[in-house]
Amino acid sequence: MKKDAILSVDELKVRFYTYEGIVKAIEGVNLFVRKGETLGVAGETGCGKSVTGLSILNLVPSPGKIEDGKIIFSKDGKQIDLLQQDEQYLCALRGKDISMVFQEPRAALNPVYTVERQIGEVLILHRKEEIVGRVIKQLRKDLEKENNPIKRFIYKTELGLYKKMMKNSRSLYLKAASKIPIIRRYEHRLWKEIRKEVIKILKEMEIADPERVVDAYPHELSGGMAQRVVIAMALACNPVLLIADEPTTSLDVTVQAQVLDLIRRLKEKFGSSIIYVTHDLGVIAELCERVAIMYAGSICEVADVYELFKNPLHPYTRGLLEAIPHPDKPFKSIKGFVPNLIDPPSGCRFHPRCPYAMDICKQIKPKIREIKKDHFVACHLFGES
Amino acid sequence: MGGLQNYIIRRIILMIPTLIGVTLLIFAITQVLSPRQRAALYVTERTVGQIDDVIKKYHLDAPFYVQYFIWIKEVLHGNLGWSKKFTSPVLGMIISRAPASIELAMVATPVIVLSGIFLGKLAAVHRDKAIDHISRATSIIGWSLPSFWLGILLLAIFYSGLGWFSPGRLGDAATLYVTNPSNNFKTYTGMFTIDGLLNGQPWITLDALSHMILPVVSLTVQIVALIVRVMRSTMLEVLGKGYISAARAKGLNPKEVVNKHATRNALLPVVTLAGMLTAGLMNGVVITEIIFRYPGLGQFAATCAVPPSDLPGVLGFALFAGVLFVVANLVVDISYAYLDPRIRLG
Amino acid sequence: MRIMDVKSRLKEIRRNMDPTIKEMKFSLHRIKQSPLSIMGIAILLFFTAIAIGAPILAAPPEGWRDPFKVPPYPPGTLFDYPRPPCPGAPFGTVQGYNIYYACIWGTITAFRIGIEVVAGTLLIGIVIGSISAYYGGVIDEILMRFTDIIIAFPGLILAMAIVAVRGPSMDSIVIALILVGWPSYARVIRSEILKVKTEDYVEAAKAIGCSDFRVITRHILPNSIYTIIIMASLDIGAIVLSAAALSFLGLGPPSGYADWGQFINFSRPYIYKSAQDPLGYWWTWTIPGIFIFTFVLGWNLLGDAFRDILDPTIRRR
Repeated sequence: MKKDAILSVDELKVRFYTYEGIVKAIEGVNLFVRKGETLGVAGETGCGKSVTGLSILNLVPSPGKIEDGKIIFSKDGKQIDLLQQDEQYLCALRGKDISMVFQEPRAALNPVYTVERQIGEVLILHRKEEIVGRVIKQLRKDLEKENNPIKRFIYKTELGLYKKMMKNSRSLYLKAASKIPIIRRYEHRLWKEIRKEVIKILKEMEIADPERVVDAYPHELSGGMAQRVVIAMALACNPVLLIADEPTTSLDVTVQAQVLDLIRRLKEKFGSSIIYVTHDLGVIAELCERVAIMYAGSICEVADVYELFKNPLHPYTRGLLEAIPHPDKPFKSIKGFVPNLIDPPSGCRFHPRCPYAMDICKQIKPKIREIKKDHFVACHLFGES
Repeated sequence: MGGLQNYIIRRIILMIPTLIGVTLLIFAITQVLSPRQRAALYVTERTVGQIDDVIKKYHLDAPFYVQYFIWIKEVLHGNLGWSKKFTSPVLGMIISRAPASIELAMVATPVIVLSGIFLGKLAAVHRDKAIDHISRATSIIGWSLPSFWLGILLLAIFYSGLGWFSPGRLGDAATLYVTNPSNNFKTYTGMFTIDGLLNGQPWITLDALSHMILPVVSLTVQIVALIVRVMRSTMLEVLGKGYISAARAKGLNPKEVVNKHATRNALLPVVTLAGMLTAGLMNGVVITEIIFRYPGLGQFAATCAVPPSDLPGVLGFALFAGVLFVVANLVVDISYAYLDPRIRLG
Repeated sequence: MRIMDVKSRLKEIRRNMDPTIKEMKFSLHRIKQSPLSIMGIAILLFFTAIAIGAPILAAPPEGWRDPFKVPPYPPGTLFDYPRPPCPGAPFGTVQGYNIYYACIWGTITAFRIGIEVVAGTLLIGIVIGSISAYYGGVIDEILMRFTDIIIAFPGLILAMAIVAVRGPSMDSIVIALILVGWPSYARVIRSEILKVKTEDYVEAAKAIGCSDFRVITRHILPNSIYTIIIMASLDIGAIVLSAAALSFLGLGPPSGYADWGQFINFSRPYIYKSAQDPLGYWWTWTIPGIFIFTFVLGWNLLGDAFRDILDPTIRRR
């Protein structure tokens, strides 16, 4: 794995088993992300960029299956293959070390729970020690000051319950306790702490009125506000890597600009790496340091963003950049259609549409190679065949 | 929760026209008969010559709305007619028979609700695996069984065949005990399960419960089948929603996602099923009680319905059932608003 | 033509086949995949065969006027104790009636009730629902209040009241069930039409100049009808059960008519025979019940299959 890369995807293969046939959605994707950098993954709809993001967290929905490959994540100085880990390990990882933000903000929020409850859920899952620790400290202070024997008894029982929570928040004992009417009041302290923390997080998301938003239900929030809440949920535990799957696509342009701004500022503040999946080259130019272009399930080109826009090497990248409408130039598009992934073209999947296609392109799939420093291309036009 | 309170008030106000409509419908059904036929309900073989006087006395040939007002006034005073078959006022019969049926419903409801929701959830979560198919097959079988036939089969197997249970509400020993005045058995609620305990005679409670087992099974099978089917399909719909995958991305394990996020949302349409549950129970007791000779409201209604039909009984019961159902739906709607905050605004 | 060319041409043709045909093929494939649907179809075909073959399978005696009146066995006796199955009466007798005959001709009765009631409720429901959705305003309010009132009753109880007032008979049951059933369909079609009216594709159709008639027939109705068809096919089973329940209570056709519910009612006194042989009269209470159960099961399986296969939103899950 490259040095100072925190995540590396090696030869990922994902297939979907449908009635019409086997969709070879991802065929050998190679990527890596460095610490603190924003990697853009760009491509047309259906090229597999979302599936790549989901595969990192092993959340590919059925009938999809990850067939092959390695996803190496650097955690606590060790290199761990995420695809080999069991569900329990991944559950501890998701939301804490690697978070994901989806495209439709209001769809990602459960309509029957308030914002406080939903962000609080992430806090309880991953920052339990910190928050319960605070509750216990406060409880101990209250216990010292209190003389009333009844209240002392109540505090002592609460203390016992919270100590249990510290050890194992999923224990059956606690679950039962939270169903019994009077006893469940012990949770009030916890939710008070959580509320404070959630308001703090919302303020960091630059939400103007956190007190109101905290109690709101998702259908009461605007699109931009909802997306900020979702981002807040993702960043609540300071993840090392944030996977953003077209988070601004469903928002209108002004709100989109605000959210992008926010993401940029948060990146600086928290130092997280971001994998930003999108089809919008403009957003990539705004936000990302490196870009990976994907087509029909594999990576065509990866480079520094300035380098890519200045010197696109892969014919597909060149086609994409030429297709950006410009007032002075005639309108140009890439001829042909996105291929059917049940029966993809042989060799290089782009060859039917490529103006520079050679015989070898129909037969052998080009491997991705470092042509210049930090500029990778998968094309037979470059490098030795 | 101001929104919830407003919703409750609005909903109660909306209920009133529906109640009026219910009374209108029952009244309209009575009007299908000619005045002479209706007068016939008030006379016996001896007094048959007085039919014309009866028509005049009760204004049975007056215009529709006049009759309706007279009728509704009587109804609001508690007069639902006189049942010839039981030789007592209809309302009195309904009140005296109600506790037995309520008892059955009270025992049946938790069984139905818990098993229905549990099985439906199970089937959706393990979709297309063995459990799903078994659960769906049992649901379809339960849904296809005629409840009266099931009752008869249960009687045949467990009463005739095995002799474990018998029809009726109490066994001979218990009946003798409660009807013997020297035993001073006070009927506080009219329900033998509770009264048995309140009188310090728990064996009566057990006896009553043992007589309720077969009727309850007969009642629940059809309704559980319906609930399982609906729960499964709403669960499947919910499991495909965005917040489910978002919850997985947060780090919740699959079981937690189902219990904390999916279930609450899937329950919403099922709560409206509670309305269907009440209807199912009301329809069910009519058939079940007559098969098991259980002296409740259902047996009253069914006995009145058997030709020659005792119309005041049947119609009085229908009116009662309609009003009860409207109130039950009110409760359902309010719980729906409690569970789903989106409804309160609408 | 070389083999490779033929193969690739076939592939191309397969891929470009008319989408409607493709979808139908997919529906057939799904039906084949689901053993429950096949069972449902098989059951219904079996009963249809019985219904059609009734005059042959259970020929009415010489000079018997109404084939639906069940003849006694042995001929000429009535109100006898139940006789066990024997060559003349393969399913035995109850109240003197030939159970085999009753079950065979009862199939026709069951089909008749199911089809008549469903047709009636669909017709009235669709008409009223469409009027309500189309005109909106006061008419809509009034009609919907009316449906609310009927829906405010538990169905069987209201049907009981209607039949009791009209006088027990087969027609009363059919009319009562239609009156109790149409509101649900009216509401569903109304809400489907309202939902479809606001969909973008209707706006788009109007924008490209489709006439109102075309919009209704090609866009609104096809999308609204699916739900109704699925509802109706799931409902037939329940209708047959309700009709049987009403006849079981005695509110159906006169005694001796070939109707399954009635015959189950006849079996009630014979659930217990004697201490030595408690289940002695088993044929009275098992056989008619099996007929009803299997018949309804067939319809329910079919309805379930329809729902899984036709509903466009869950077809491909």
